[in-house]
Amino acid sequence: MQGMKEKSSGQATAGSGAAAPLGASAADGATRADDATRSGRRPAGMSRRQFVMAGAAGAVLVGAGGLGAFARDTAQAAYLRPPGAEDEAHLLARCDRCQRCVQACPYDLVQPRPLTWDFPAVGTPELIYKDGYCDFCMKCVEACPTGALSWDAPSAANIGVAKVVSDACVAWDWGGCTVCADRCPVEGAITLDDRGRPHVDEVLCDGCGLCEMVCPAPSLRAYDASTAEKGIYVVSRQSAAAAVPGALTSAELEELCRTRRTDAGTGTTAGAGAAGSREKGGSRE
Amino acid sequence: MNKMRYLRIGVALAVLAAVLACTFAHVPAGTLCALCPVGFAEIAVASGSVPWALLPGVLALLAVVALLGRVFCSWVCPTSLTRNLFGGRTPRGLTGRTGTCAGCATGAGSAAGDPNAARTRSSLAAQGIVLAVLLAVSLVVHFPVFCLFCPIGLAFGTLFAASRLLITWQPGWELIVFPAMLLAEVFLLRRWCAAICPLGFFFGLAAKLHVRLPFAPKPRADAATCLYAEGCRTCATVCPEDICDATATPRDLEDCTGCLDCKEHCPTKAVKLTGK
Repeated sequence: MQGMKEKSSGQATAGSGAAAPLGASAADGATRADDATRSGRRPAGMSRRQFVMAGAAGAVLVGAGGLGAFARDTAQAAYLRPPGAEDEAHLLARCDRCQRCVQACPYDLVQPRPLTWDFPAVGTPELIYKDGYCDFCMKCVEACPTGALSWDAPSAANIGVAKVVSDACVAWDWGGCTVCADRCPVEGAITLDDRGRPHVDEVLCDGCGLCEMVCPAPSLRAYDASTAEKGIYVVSRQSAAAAVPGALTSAELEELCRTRRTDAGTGTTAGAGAAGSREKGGSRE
Repeated sequence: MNKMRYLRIGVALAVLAAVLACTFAHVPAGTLCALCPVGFAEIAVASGSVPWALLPGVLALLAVVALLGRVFCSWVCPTSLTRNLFGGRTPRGLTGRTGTCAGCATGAGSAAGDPNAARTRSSLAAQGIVLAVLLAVSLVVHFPVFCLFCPIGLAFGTLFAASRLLITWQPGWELIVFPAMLLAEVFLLRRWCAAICPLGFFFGLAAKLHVRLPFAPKPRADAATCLYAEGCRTCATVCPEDICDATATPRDLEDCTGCLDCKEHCPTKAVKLTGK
């Protein structure tokens, strides 16, 4: 790039010595014509440097596109998206990263994706149930100007599915903790088995994230860094973690990254109909 | 002094601050990306259907350029903001100048050539090549590929990464990578605006309409008081696009970003914003 620096005076013809006051456009036009003939095969009005820059930028865009497609392919990611997102491919093609859904969320759950190896997804919305849960207010869907989040997508009533982490969940080895089952707003979505361990009904669960938000495991297991932080996590229904039936271990959750996509991923979103029965779902059928 | 430049910095910072304020107040106003004609076209080809809901905002932005010229470039675009903040005393503009006007003589008062004949113009063709390539790539890979490089997107990306850091305490690489990319694009690729920016392609088309609108304001030197014949080239020297207001053709005025530095620095206050 350094070599192309500031040669602009070189490509223009040397200014005629005479100062031509107001209306030197004839001389100006002649200069331009001369310039254009010298530019050879390039389209008129483009200097050599501009042509080189545009070509280089085009090459970089082609490279970035290829690398991005490769990154998407190897990451095989399925992030937990806001309600109304169809599948990963649709969201990524449709989202213009305008951050309106991020601004609209009253609970700061919708956050832009950070920059990772899966870099084409940077800036697209994902849900983080750290300090809140989704009550399906649908303000993010209302705010979306591109249709990346839409009312008629199956995920409008079904964001994802909660997965119990067997070695992080307190009820799993000590018993006694019933916080997630007590707080779950969907009747029957989290039930306790005969040993008092929570089980998620994968059809009824709509991924609102209240269980993940209230799970007390982080404070009860603060001494043990080997386990996942929470005893229950909501994952995308397209993720590989969602495809594993029942509870996961911390290692399995880590391996599946909470994000990796299953090939059968889109099929599982069909379970959306069941969650539609939930009253909170509101205006949708 | 550099009154206009500080004003431009203020306006561009105010836009960023307004977007941040909307984020904390949960007003879904969106970033400037919601108005982007390039994003509109990219999404249309990447997803295979036209995002009609974006169109009113896109047309409104282009209407502003048609009425007022490329004011977005110098008053709002984070690229100009970066240049104005970190570009030293003479930040470059669309055509990538260094602060000395190509057609200006060194000796004060001596008759020099017409700066408009010597200036490099922004190139619709170069920007069109970039636009065509990015649309073709977006079509193939099914995501808006230019959004990863856009200086405007990078500026807002940095802003939102910082806000995410404050809300979820998750620092991300984008806090380092985005500002670095922005600075590299602005200061290493000095022809970014003239030869690469695909937004400039749309603005260039709108500017062609702007210079033909008889009522749209354009900077012109009043022949009665202008010192061009005496050798004054002040407007071309301060202009980021090397435009001399005394001899500018409509083609030259297409590149004007309405920064108003010429109006501020004209020694005889001959520069007026007029329709013709």
